[in-house]
Amino acid sequence: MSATVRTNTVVIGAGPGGYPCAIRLAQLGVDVVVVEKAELGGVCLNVGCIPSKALISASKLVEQVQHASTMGIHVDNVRVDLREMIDWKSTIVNKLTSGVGSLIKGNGGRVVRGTARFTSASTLVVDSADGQTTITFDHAVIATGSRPSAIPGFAFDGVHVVGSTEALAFDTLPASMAVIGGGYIGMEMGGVYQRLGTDVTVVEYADRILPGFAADLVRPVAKRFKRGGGTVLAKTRAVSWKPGPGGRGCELTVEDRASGETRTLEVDVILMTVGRTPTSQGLGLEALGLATDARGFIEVDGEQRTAVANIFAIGDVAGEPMLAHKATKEGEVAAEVIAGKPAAFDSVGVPAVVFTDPEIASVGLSEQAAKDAGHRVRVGKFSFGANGRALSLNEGEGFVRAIIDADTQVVLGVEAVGPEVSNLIAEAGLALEMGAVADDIGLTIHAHPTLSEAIMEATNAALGHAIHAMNR
Amino acid sequence: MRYEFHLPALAEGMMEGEIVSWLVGAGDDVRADQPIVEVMTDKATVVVQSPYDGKVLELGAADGDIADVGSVLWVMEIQDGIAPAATAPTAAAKAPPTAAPAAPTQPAAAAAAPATAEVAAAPPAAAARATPPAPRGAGKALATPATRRLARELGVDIGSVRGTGPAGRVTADDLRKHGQAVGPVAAPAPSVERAAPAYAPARRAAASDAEVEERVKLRGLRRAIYESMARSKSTAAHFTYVDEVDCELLVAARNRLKPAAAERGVKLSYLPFIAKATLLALARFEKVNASMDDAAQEIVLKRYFHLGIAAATDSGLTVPVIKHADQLSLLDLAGHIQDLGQRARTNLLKPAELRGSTFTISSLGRLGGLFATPIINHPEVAILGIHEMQKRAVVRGDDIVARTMMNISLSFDHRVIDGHEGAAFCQAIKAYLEQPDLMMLEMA
Repeated sequence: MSATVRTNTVVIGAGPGGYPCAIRLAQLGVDVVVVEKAELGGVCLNVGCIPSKALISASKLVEQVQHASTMGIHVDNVRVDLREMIDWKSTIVNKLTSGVGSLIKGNGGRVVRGTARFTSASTLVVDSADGQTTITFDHAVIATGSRPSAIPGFAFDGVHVVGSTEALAFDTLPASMAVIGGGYIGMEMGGVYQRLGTDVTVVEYADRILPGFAADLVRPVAKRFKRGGGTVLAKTRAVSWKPGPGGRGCELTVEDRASGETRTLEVDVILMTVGRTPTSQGLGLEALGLATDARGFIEVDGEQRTAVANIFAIGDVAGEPMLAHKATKEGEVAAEVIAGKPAAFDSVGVPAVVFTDPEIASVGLSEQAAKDAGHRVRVGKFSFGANGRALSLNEGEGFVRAIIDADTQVVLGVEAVGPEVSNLIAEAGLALEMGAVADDIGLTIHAHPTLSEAIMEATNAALGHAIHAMNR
Repeated sequence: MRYEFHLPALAEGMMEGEIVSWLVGAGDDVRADQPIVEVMTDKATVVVQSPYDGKVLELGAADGDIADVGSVLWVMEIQDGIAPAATAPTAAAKAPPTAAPAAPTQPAAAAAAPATAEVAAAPPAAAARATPPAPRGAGKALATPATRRLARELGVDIGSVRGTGPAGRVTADDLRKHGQAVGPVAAPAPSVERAAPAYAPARRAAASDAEVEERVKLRGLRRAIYESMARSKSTAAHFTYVDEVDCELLVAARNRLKPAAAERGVKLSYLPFIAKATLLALARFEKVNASMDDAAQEIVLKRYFHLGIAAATDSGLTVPVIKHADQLSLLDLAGHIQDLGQRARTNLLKPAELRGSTFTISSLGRLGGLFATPIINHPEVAILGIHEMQKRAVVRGDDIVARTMMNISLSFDHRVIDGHEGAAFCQAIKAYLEQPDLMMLEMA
């Protein structure tokens, strides 16, 4: 089969960047075609954010049930059927991805299945099992996302060395697992299996896990991970691996970066979470005369436009941070720019959330980044240990930190570790975008008893008058 | 340590100043006393200098912004302990002013002075963006997302807008006011139109008139003139009276005195004679040497004589002032006129020399033309415009003779000065100029 399709805008990739972009374009009356080589919804909906959160919730429930005796709840013989858990996760994914298809089509967008490759700045071809489709367009949006990276000697084989995708669909629960890379994906997935009973060892090259976050934010996470039986090998390099005896399991050799000593870990499976690589190869960018940077990112301006005026890029392929909500925002910006609206990516902060136990979240500037940016800063910290709702959730660990400009009181950033901080951070994000001063948050009534009081108290603490804390 | 420089009151009663131009940028290393920014007060442009050595971190206002006295003008990193924390510094400002608002004539036949204001927007090329999008990570003006979007819709660079909200937050109102003040940079054009495929032949820009227009921001002296003229025209009830002066005897007198003046180092032009004649007339017509206090509904009779002499400079019109000009001899008047004119052209006048006039003379020199309707230098009530001196055929007795003639145009504020009074004042000047000997009678 060979067909030719003509459209105003083609969006390559139907992930959390591409599909909102396509929907927004369609809403604005722009004729749009979406090309997707795998499943609608991209990594996020299919093998990323959503399924991992399903397993995280389920595994946390398991742990809570196991430790419910402190609340006087005694549950014996807790049994986890991983297959059923994975199936439950899949129903959620299917519900969301079919919703994406309906939304695109319902708004008037078209979907073409296959792998896209540019042949010029106005045409691309889509290869699929059914044949080839040529699409001619005025504008293109590259939303191809990213895929897991591997380190030398650790090629993914889907059995011994696996990525996050496989880790979301194990047939049986591994008895032991080595997680190479203690970033947010490694700690989230490692945490899932640690809670389900797997013996998890995290191998991290840097000095500590989650090196992108302040040390005190990470401390409760590391503590709880270890208390649950997990092991962290920091400052450690994964050297090589080989299949275990009889092809079962793996023998992983790691090296202590400080001492140079090596040791071998015997594990059922190696989960490789050392980062993600933008999907910019094989797209025919050379036909556009479009180069990528050394890491494979396509450079864009504030309108998401690449060096080629009618080609836009959004999401992971357009640079850090590789986060779904950043991709969505960029997709909306690109769509509006294409539709002739004066849009720009001008967000003050892109929130970052990590679904570890407890959760970590941040938006805006860290204390150090604020100082580096020339601000005189004041910092207010409020512990969940003094928050009634957190204690009644049996989740008193963690804190909220507010970073404000000492001269103007403008809120510069909020960081938190603790219960539900992934949801709480939205208030801080709004404060940043609104240019709020600390008193704007402090003078807002926050319902009692809720976790949100911690954000109010942290900003009040920055001003020196938190109620439920000694103000430093 | 971080040090904030607050805009000091550079002149008495100053409430705000306009940023004319920054002489440094964020990131620049500066020395103590290095000129940092030119600030226009309502009278003069003042160069503000850095009080300390250090590195400029950020600028608190953009060119053309109005900054309140006391607001943070710039932020710099300086050595710890050399500045008192959190106190506004004393004015580290010296003042080589460039100019002051003027009350010049509106010549009926004169070329307009070329404007030197900066260009706000070049005509957009076909493929160029209407509004350059902020580079990623930049553009962190304090404003809500909806306001930032409005800025893009209005084509306003939000980073250049002075916010009036809490902590300097830019509000929607600020944007609209800013938009009215400077006009849109350019209307955003639909991307669907401009983003043709890269290989397509470049289309010629649609030659609409708007695309080849150039918009020049109103700033600095031009803005001061704009305000001063509009204020005068919207308050004073102007009427203009023109007469001609037979200058035969004046020419003879000046030619006789010129060598003597030259011996004293003064180049004697006609202007000192005209100034003297005017001052002598003012002494007899006290209502002309006055001002109108609109708020109090009172006419202020000055009883002192500070003479403004409008002068054209490269930046625009300025009015240097000779204080107590009535007490000066003809020679001294000539010397002052020469000195002020020179320093006005080289922007070396002090703010104090640019204010306080009680009456203004405007001369267009060789561009004098036939007559004009001068605009009064607010809040004064009259202004004298002098025109080209030339040989003309006039009737003396029954004969047509050639005489050196010069027209003078006097505008008065009719709210204060009636027609016959203005005419009488003009005739008094005319009499002194036609018979310079008469001036001898008045000399103290």
